[in-house]
Amino acid sequence: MAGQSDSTMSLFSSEEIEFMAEDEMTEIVPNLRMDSLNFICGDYGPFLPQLAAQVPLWLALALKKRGKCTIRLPQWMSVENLTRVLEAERDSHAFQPLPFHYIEISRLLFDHAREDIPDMYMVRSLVEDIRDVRFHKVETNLEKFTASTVTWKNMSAMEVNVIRAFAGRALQAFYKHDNEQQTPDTDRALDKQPQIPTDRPKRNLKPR
Amino acid sequence: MYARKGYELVKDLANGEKGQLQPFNEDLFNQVVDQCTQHYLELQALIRKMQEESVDVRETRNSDHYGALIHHLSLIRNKRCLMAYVHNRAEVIQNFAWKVGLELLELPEEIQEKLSPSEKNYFGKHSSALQTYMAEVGIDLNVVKSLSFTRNIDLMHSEFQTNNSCCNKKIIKIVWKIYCVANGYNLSLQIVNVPFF
Amino acid sequence: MENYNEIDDILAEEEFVPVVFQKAINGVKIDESTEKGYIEQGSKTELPFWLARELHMRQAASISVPACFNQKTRLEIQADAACVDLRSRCPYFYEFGSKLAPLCDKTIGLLLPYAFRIRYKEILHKAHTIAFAAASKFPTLLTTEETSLYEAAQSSMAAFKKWRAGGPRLQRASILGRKRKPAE
Repeated sequence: MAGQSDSTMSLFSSEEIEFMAEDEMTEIVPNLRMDSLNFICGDYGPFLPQLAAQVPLWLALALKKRGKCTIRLPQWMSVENLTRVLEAERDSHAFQPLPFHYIEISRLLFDHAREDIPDMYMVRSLVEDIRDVRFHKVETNLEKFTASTVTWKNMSAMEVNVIRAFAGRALQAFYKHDNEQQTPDTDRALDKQPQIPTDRPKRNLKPR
Repeated sequence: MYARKGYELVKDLANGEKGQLQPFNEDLFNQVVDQCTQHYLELQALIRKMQEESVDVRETRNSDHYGALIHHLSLIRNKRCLMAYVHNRAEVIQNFAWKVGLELLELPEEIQEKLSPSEKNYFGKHSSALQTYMAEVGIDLNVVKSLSFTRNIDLMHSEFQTNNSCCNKKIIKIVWKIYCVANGYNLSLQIVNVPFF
Repeated sequence: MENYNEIDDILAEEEFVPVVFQKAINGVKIDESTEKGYIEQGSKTELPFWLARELHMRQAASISVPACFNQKTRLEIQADAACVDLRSRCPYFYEFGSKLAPLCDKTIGLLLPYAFRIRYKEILHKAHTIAFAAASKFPTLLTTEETSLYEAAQSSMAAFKKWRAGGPRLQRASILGRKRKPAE
């Protein structure tokens, strides 16, 4: 519905999801002395060299691009944690708890703060593996779709967004078909209209 | 076949790429209108015939009645096709205001050529209504364009110490969220433990 | 009527159904070849659904099952729903079917969700294996509704991959069409 995304296809583009992810708080270590910054979203700083501070990711990246700080790798992005999560993802049908914006945050950090990430290649491949395993899980879950309520815990923003258009349409279709089966055309009220019997013939098609 | 022209008009609309505009098909549009007139004349003729035979037009269900019925239904069908054609195009045209720009001249020439004169008029009035509204509210709601620009221009060229651009970014963000909510944004899936906003 | 302006609904109602006239009708030429301008009671023809339905409601005509829901199609769907070419049978298979079911044959109402459930899985699989999609003839078998589902899955996935790969951020608004692609 917004931005460059096609409103008929999905509500948000990936870029818009990334935009929202930039609100997540990140720890930075500034290398300059600077008064506090007063924004509508809040006040950050004052900044002192070598003293860690919490700022939104967009601010962290902007400072980083100007060489004014280093970004501390979030705890969940450590090799140990990611290895553990990957194993858990493989062993279980459920989604492991990860930050809601883990895909976007990791990509932004890989792109703009690579020298702040120890074991960059390892971390990147772990994140990609986790994402692949989870996407596969999403597909398996989609297969089991019915018109009833769908509840999946711990899906991330990007994972939801990728299937949003498809899942929305599919649910709509399931809902429509199931309802039509139960209530034949009742919105037409013409005189002399033959009474439509509502008893349903017994279902003789077996689902596979 | 009856009301076939209306179908052709709608088909013309459907054949275009989704969400994109085809040139306004004035020729076919007029043919549908002509066909409506034709159906109306034939409907009238049948009713008149019934009146001349002094049968009760309201109650009688003779062959003339059913003939008139078919012409009546064809008229309604053609009307629906005409309405749908205009309505669906109008929706695309409205979107131009959000996605391209509020001035007719901002639209690329190849788009302008596809609009009928009354559609151009519609776009202009729709845009100026939006502009008046935004002026009254005191906020530029047209953040759709600015969103992608903000990120790039704002962050790359802004100076922190002045703060202005950072504030702008936040304003835009807030307004954009309002815009999403106002447009009935909803999650297609129920997500537990993950507040989106 | 909520979907008065809906293109797909209008097109779905243009699908033809076989009818038998129960009343004589004067002053109409149902197809261009018959010149007499008169329909006899008991004569048969095919009418678009929007007209057939109204005549059926007024007992001026009776509707029978059109070819796209005949026994042969049903057997094929029961045998292997995913492989049936529904588009050539009727691009609005589901919409048309659900409109038709209460009027002539309610078993159609059972056929539709059955077919959709099976084909849905196939769409899900094929849409996400993009390399496969390029050469496949699978998309040509899909109805309008299924195609939009298939395209929704594909385009979201493609958009995500594009985002991940990075690249130019400022794009021409999709609403303007693809005539003048900016140099990438």
